[in-house]
Amino acid sequence: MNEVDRLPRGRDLLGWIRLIQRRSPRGWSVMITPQEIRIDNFHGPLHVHPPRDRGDPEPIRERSMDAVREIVRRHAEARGTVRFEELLEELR
Amino acid sequence: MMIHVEQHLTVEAFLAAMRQRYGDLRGFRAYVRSHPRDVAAKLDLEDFEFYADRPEFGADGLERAVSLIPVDDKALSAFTKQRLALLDTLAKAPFDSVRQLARHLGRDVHNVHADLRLFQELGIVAFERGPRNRRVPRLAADALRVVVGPLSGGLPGRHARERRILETEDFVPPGET
Repeated sequence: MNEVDRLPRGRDLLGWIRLIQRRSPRGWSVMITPQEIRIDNFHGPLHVHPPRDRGDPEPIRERSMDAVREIVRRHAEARGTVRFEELLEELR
Repeated sequence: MMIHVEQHLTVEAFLAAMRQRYGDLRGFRAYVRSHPRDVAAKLDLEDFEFYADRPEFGADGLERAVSLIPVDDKALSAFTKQRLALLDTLAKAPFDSVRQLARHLGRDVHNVHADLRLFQELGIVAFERGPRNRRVPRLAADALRVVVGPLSGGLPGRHARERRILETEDFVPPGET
């Protein structure tokens, strides 16, 4: 497991993966917490930001927000967590 | 399985709600700086900064949603019958304070506050500023649904403004089996 995959200690670790979603005329985003991995199409084509924005965004294949949420859900349910490198491969 | 909470509002209504909760842009930025773990507020700030100077988008729709995926057996135990009743009550009537809500429910104010904090962490409940700096609990959603299987984009009544709280599909709250 990468260092970035380690979950922060604290109150927000309640046994849940939270996907915080925003959709409006400027685009949409899905933030996965507590890992803080963000997928959005603001400022250009769809891309994913590494955990806590530590690193450059990685471009991924164009999909709808609903399709991305479904990929993340399946990933999280299968693993009990979200692993950035593996998720990135699934989104590419 | 996933619990999905969503809210649909216009950009104008979103800006008004954020101003009520955080004050002006400066106050909003200060909140986000002092609460780095509040990721939802950070996302709202980005939208606020983008739309505050673009009144042409005022009537457009904006969707805010949270999907909760349980990853251990204990997660679902948060949704006790008592806590679901709290959400149902909040959906039906506004309350000016946590104390007023607790009185209505016939529960201890500290326990109700703890439950509200839990739902706040999950993104289901938000606190607004009330008179004399009271914390006014509000549902941060038009709809809360439990989804088994994929959640498609074509939600019924996706842009409807009516409240559809605690619509559950194949969900039995813990303790009711």
